[in-house]
Amino acid sequence: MEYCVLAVIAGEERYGYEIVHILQEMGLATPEGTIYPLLTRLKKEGMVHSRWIQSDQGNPRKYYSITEAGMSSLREFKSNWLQFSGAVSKIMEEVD
Amino acid sequence: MTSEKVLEYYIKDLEQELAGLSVGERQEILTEIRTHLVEKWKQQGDETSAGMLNVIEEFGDARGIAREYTGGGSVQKSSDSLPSWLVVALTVFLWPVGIVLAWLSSQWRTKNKLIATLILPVLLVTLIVFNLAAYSVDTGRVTEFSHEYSQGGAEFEMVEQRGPARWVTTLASVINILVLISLIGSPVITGVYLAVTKIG
Repeated sequence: MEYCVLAVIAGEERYGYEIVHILQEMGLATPEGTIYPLLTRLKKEGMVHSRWIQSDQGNPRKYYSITEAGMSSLREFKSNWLQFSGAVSKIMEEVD
Repeated sequence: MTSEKVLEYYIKDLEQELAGLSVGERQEILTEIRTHLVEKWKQQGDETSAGMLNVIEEFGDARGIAREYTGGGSVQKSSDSLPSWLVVALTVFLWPVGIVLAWLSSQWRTKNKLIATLILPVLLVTLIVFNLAAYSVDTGRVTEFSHEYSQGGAEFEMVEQRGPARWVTTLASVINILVLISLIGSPVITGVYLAVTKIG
């Protein structure tokens, strides 16, 4: 799940609710509350940056962006994943 | 209970579960989660306390989330070591103590704790409101009629009182007694509710 979160913020800085919403729209049903501890862990590991921005509605939002280390880790995962999913797809093609 | 109160209960619950973290870290987490809950509550189109309860339910149990933050090492509190049956028994025999322990415990969801807390006050308010309404009906509609008549040379005056129909007063008494019995038994009802809704 952490790589999915990194992928969601790879192109654009986003805040928690937005990240949860995007993941849910993509069919990744995950308990909403677990995303925030995950983001905190990614921040501690240096994979993401965060900053507070006051929203138009008045609520402070914590925006997350990916770091160089996070992007490097994400690229590595993507490469491995594409290789793995490609192999699985080939095997599955054999199934009627 | 207002949606703000529901939210505050949940945030308080989460704050207690995160007691092992630093104040700064805890406040940052709580602010972020509060923003999420309020934003979702406003966007889902049901800006009621029930809507807030649904949002909280979907967000997740406070204890589970706190565990994720603390890397699985939950912050142990004295109330967590209390078995659920003891909390239930205390609710039945010492209602306020049992309810406080239920709130401190993570063996119940916030929604269930709220409902358990509200059973007694709701019954009490119902009883008071019902009695006030019954009193106003009894005193407001009684009318006196006097009739004079003579019998055997003597004159009599008969005073007749007309109030609400007998079936109305009987029904009111029955409902009143039922609510009163429920109120007296509400610690037991609350205890049973907690026993049924315990997690795991």
